[in-house]
Amino acid sequence: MDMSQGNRILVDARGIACPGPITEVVKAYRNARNGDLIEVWATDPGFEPDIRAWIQRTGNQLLELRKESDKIVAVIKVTAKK
Amino acid sequence: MSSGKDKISMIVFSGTEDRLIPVGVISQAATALGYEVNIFFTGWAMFKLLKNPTPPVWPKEFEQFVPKLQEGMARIKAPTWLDMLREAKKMGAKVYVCSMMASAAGLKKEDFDPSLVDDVVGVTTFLEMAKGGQVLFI
Repeated sequence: MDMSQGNRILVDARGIACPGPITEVVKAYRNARNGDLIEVWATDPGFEPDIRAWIQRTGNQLLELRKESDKIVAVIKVTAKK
Repeated sequence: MSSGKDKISMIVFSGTEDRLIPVGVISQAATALGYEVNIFFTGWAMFKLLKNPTPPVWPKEFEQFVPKLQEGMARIKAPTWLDMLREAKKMGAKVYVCSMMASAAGLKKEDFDPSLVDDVVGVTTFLEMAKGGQVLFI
């Protein structure tokens, strides 16, 4: 097991319409390792349910999902990489 | 959890812009999620994949809404359906052209944009690829 602390990856998907934000998350996820944190910024109104669906599908961990005045922020902990 | 077995196949027939948009959206999202994606272009939609594609067409009954829709798509910076299809292809989506319609139109594999079309195949091939997955007729 890799005991080192994971990286924090920022995905700025603001201003990108569906299905862009999830596509950007998947691209970041492909290069990520277990233990990494992916923070996503999005403005697409479908992002909130979509990221929940993605989490459910992939089995990663959603640490945070909050609405700010100008964006939705999700913090994902990568745990399901094989 | 992803089983790696999810699969969606689309038969794209109509070829009007309003229907090509969901082809782009669904293929990009599905490939990003790890679905196997097979898209079979036939009918009028097939001509959109030519090296010299046919110009955009909208259904008559919605024509009055088109400028507003295009304005909205530009505002949310939505990519074109073709950009979304290219994105899906980068992630593994496969695009096929119906051999029967291609023959009927006098078109050969060389007439299609090779950056878009993986192969010209018969419906048997498509049905075999689609077997066991979801199929959409668009």
